[in-house]
Amino acid sequence: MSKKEEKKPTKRTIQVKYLARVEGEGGLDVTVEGKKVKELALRIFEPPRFFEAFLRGRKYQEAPDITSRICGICPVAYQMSAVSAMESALHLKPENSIQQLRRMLYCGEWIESHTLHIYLLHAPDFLGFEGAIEMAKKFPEIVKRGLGLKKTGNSLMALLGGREIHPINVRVGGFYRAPSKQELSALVPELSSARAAAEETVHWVSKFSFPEYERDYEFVSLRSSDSVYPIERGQVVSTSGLSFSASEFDDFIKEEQVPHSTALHARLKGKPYLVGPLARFNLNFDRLSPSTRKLAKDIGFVPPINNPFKSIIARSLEVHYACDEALRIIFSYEKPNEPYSEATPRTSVGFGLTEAPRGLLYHQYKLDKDGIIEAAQIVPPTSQNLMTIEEDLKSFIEENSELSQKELGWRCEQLIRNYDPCISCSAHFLKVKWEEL
Amino acid sequence: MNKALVIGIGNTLRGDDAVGHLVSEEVKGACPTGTIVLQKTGNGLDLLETWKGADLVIVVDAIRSGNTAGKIHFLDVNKGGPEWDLFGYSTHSVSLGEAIELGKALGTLPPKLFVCGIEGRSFELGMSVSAQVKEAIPRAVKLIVETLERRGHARSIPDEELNGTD
Repeated sequence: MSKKEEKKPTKRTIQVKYLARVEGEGGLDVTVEGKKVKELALRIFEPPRFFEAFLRGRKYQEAPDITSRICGICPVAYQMSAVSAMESALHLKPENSIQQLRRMLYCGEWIESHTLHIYLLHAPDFLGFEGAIEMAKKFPEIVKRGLGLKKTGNSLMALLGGREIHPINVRVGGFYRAPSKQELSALVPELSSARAAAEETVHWVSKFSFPEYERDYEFVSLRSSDSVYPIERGQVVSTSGLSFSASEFDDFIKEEQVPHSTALHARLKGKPYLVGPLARFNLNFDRLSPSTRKLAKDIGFVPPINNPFKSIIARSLEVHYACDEALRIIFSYEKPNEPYSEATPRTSVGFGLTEAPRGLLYHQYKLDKDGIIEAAQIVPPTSQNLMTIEEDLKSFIEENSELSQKELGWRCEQLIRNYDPCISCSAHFLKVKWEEL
Repeated sequence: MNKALVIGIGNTLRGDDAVGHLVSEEVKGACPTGTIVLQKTGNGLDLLETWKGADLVIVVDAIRSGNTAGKIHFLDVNKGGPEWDLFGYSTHSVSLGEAIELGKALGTLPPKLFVCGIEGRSFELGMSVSAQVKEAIPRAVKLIVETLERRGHARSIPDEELNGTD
């Protein structure tokens, strides 16, 4: 072997053909030369779904139900961003009790979606199991606790939304039917038990072993003008001090196509950024309920948290908060006089931004004088996180190049799951340009 | 009286995936009094909740295992399952096979759990069910009703009886 050949850095590839324990279809290809990542592609091959195209020509009232079909895990998020955008277009401001019911429905989805991810998708990574079934064999009582907690989320969804998946009770202007105080109060025992289970969950995940890994992220989330944690309303804020409203979203955030993905990649002022539980937690720690904040302090989890592997702790604290918040809303609830208010169609543009379990979800609609949708734009959280996930992968691999191929592959998958990516959501987009390479 | 449950799962908009719903619909009119018949999409975690507390459960679903369309597989889960990838058609969350494995691990499976799987041919978008799958429906219904009448005391069923002699 010549000296020249000896100096040539070793080349290796990491390939995850199909990512497991994520929603939708994707894979990962990495080429590493020496310690440097030469190529990295988080391949999203879930077929594009064209939702923005087939919203055109539909009535404004249909947007919540049509867009909720983008995702079976976070349909409420789509409904909430859709009604928010339509109500901004049509100058409709539902009364406070309607807002509270929406917030509570959203809490149900956070509980359900987060718990599914924590227990069945992400925890096995930290405990060295192939998946939830293997974990359940060793820790059946823990998995039962997770399933019970998730069921409470389902109960909230079923009561307020009419059914557990793809709720049918949400409409522009409010709800088709508002529940009575008595109906909501019936959920108090279940929610109280769930809150206790959520606290146990926080303690459980906080004891996991986390890789030493941090980056300086540009966290982005909503922040509301009142004192509550951001869920269904607020202004966009970021770590670097940016602040803008839903109507300015397009000025700050641009989406672009990349060849290896059917999902668009978004940039904030040209740079990658991070949305989701860790961003919300870091930017709104002061807005958590006192008991959730105390719980976070008790386990030593206070901002700034820059280790993405610890997003599972932020997620579990948000489950605790969602139980707390749902209970608060039940206790203060007064049934609205009317379950919804009617809108008058007009030529307009509306913008909606809410916090889906995985982060910011943006909707924009252009309506004609009869309220028919002329154009729609939807930016889901996963496509906003894709660039950050790729950057995490690149830097993590370069910092940990001494790990074996198997170990590195495992860590890369775990790292992707830090973001609870919903690939089905991210591949909903409209503009598809196929190029033969 | 013990609780008996028939759950038809699938998607009526995906061709032969509708067969679970179609069979369970027929079972409604023929099953013993007191049997609860439900139709679900097939979300595994939902199934774990749905069959909680039931003593006898029969799940009806379309399957793809490379066999002839319309072939019926009748499986006694507590006597050992097949390769569960057979049932992994669901694109979301937890499949039927995973739910059964999870239930086993958690010790929460019903004491008597059967899966009536009907081999499908096409799972494309649309409401048309292939002729072979349609022909299998009465045979599946008969088998399910008989199992309910026997209170789940399964007998050995010859393949010819399940799938005809042709």
